Amino acid sequence: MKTPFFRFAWSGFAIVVAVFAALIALPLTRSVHAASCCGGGAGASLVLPKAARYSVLVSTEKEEYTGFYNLDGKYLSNPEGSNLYQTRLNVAAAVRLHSFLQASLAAPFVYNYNHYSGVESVTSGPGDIGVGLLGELFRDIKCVWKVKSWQDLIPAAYLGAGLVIPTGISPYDNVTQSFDITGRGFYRFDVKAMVDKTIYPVSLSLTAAYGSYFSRPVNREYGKYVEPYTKKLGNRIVASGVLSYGWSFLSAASFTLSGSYQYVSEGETRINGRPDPLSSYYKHGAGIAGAYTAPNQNLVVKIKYNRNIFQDAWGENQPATGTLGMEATYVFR
Amino acid sequence: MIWQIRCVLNLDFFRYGRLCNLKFYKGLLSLFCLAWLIVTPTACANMQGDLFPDSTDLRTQNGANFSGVGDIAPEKALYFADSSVSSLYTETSSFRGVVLYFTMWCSLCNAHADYIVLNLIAANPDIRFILVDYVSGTLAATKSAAIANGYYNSTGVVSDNSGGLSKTFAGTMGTVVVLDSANTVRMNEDFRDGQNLVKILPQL
Repeated sequence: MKTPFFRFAWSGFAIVVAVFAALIALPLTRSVHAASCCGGGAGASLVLPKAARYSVLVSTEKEEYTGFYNLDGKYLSNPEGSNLYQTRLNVAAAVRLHSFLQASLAAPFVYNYNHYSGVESVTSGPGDIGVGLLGELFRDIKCVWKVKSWQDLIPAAYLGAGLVIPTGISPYDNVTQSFDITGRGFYRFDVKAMVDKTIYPVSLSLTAAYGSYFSRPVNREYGKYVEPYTKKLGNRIVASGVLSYGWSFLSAASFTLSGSYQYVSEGETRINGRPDPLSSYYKHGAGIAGAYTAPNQNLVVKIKYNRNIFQDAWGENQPATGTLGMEATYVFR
Repeated sequence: MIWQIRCVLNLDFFRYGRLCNLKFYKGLLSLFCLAWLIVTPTACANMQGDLFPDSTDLRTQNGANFSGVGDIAPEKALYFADSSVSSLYTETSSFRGVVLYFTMWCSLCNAHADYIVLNLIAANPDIRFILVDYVSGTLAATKSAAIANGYYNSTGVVSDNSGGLSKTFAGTMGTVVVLDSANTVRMNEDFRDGQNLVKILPQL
């Protein structure tokens, strides 16, 4: 594998990806204007197949803010006549560092569209970049056609760590409106555990993640300098499950239909070390996705729709949204 | 020591006894370069305050484009959702102080507004609390939103349909402005956890 041509091609690919990423990032240096109040995180993540060396993902998502859950868990619609969207373009790459370890980087670019009956705002900017390491706790592929022994039931297990880098536009940057926001403004360290099992044609994937934001000083809010204070967002918990069913075709292509459930919560923010009881939140969500895998097994095209449950008691203190997304992943083996 | 670190980094060592795997280091270096190429341009732009947060007190650098702490607020008309009309100076002369809270009818805004309604209004009957709706655009839309969110009967809700208040105080989602009876701005910042607001009310 490590022929001179491979090394040349590998380095070339790295340079191409780097230049592409830099081109994506360059427009971010321009001054940006407005967007949604909730920021835009690294919206894409990649898991590299065992035999793959690297992969690239491009995705786009359109998230519609339909309303919100208040502190009592009551669902309230947005004001009449309002249309609030956030569109994200994500570029991500994953690289195999080792036979048991892979790394990934995801960079979103965020467009915010906010229309109220009295205000209209269209803005854009970079979102928060995510980098991650994912360790694979298995040697062989764990997908089986038939269970012949108890070993065939062992799932593929992963342990991961990630860092969210606040490259987005936050309330603490030189902005004037909440509509300008495309990022949270905080570094966050995540740990993640994932198990994945496929017994064709059914797959089940379970993921749990725990994130801790770094404390930071704040001396500016929406462009106004204020008395400096320290702020730390609450710890984040994400749990999700995906159940899939796949159909294989004679051409070796396949189509997979998935249903998913996700729970997200964040604890209380701390202001100068003091907990803010108005800041914690949680919400539940469900989704459906269809993915087509090309005959060469290297290209996967997916369309997905996720939404919160727009009823009381399915969330607290958070916007409720519906997200339509498309993504294409290409795997280099 | 370096040998040990390399062994720990190299997961294959435990399984195959190999000391190192060049792929690991090449991959790590490439990822680092890629991250650096992305982060560096963004760090030069608007968001470097997040990448390298600053704790310096820069309040003296606030420009004169909005009424900040210590400034005398200009007179502004107030158009209430119940169709009554008043003004900032009328309200400050009638109460010990006026608190303006800027809302866009979001989850965070309602959390803050609930805190004001449930904890502060009854405890401070001689202070006027007003929610400023800076997104609805019309009095009718403000009234509709105030009713839908449950604040129409619990506190004053003002329609900032001309953007006069939000421009005057650089108000946006969650901004709280406190004026004393002499029309001096005593506070103009994000609501955060409300504790700064609680502290300043007895001083009015």
